[in-house]
Amino acid sequence: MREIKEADLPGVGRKYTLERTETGNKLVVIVHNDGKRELYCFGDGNELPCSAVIELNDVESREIGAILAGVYFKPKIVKDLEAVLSELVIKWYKLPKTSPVVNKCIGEKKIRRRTGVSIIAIIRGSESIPNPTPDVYLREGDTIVAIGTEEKLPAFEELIFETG
Amino acid sequence: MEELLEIGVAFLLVAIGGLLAVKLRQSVIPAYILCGMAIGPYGFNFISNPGIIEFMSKLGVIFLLFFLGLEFSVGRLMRAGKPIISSGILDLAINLPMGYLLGIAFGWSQMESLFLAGIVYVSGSGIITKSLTDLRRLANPETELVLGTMIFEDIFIAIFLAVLSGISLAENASMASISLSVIKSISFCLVFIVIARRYGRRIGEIIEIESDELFVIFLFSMLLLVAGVADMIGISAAVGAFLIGLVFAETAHVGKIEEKITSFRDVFASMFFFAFGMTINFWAFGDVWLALLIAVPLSIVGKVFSGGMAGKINGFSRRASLNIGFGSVARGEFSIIISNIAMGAAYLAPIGAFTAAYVLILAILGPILMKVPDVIYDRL
Repeated sequence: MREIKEADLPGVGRKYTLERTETGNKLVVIVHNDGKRELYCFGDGNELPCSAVIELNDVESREIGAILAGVYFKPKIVKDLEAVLSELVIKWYKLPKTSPVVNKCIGEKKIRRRTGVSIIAIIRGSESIPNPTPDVYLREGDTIVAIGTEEKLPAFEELIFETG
Repeated sequence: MEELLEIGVAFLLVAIGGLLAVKLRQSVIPAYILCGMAIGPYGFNFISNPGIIEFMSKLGVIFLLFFLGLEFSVGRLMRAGKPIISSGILDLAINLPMGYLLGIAFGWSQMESLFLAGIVYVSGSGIITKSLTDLRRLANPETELVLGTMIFEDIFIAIFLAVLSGISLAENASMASISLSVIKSISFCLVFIVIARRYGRRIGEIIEIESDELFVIFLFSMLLLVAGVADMIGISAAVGAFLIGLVFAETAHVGKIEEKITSFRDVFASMFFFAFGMTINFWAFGDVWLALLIAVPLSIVGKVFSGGMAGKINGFSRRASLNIGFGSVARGEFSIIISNIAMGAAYLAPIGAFTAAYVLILAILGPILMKVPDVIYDRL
């Protein structure tokens, strides 16, 4: 495990140094007290002065940081938004005209008892109904937000999408 | 009404002077001083009611020292470790006695020479930090040593000021009176250091004020009260402000305090340098030019030598050692503060004019000299 050295720069901020022994160069990050970041790159043998300096503001640093960490991913088309909370999965479904639950109230189909999946919100056009009660009717074109375990969701999907 | 107009002109001049200095990539401090000299009583004599400017100048010193206290941390110095301690001691052992001996050589009194020792010793940390940033040297390994050494200087200067104002404000020159006065100021400092260590967190909880407005007002009140008490019992207000800074440094609000107070510091500090300039007589330079001619080159040599040595004994390359030496030459705000206290204690003579010119020259030469190692090595 490579170590990143930390040091105080009184009146300026903090300094983080990554020494890369195999390539003989060195990367230094300075985090200024005012939020500005500077990246300094030292060439062979840590020769002075440094060979490159890049200055970034707070927002830029965070974005670049996310890219470097490999977590920066912005999907172009949001088809199936999924959020995984340990075992639980939250999913978004758009109700087609053919769905058997359209024009039925939530309680009528006993969705939760039959599938173990709960509807936590309904998005209807520009309005949304958080935490709907069993007497709320589902309509064609509604987007329903459901929460359940990975195993239980297929049964739920079958129920809301089954035809005939 | 006239007063308002005069102060408006003073600030406008300071703003324009500062802008020019920034354009020329210079420190703003010499510009502020020059503005004060230009329209002060020895210049165009535009300010007929200096009372309010002098008061703002007092606030300026209080804020400058308060910030020094806020950023001061013995723990941090200890963590920085041996290189900084050795470098700090070397710097102290060479530059402080040199200043004192220079004063004696100029035929100044013992007290004046002591003040000169401080003026010559303390580097202009604001100017140096800014130049290091501009020269892209922040990431260099030796920069930690340069900045750390300045923290060492700051600590020493705080103690030095407490002792010196103790001595200079003693009722008479007898040994007993002086030692009593020194003991008084040291115990005042100790009380605050103990309060800071013991009750810092508790005080932090007390000043947990949600309203930003009232937070700032409360801070102001504490600052002025402690500075006022220090002044009253014969320790300078500057030292009092430093001590209250120490106390607040131990609370969890340091960041918030700095954020809220920085602009006040900048405004009043500009008036401090301006008012300092107002006290300087152009013609007094005639009396101190010879002293300057000797002191300036020696001050440069002293810092280059102590810094270079510090680099060498801590295993830095020759180029890095030269960077340390030439990087510590600039003098700035704290030399002016020491001189101001000296003048307040009626050790007038030539100290004011000397320090004004001395800081003027070294604040400009310092950043230029920082490039010397680059010039040497790029030519080779």
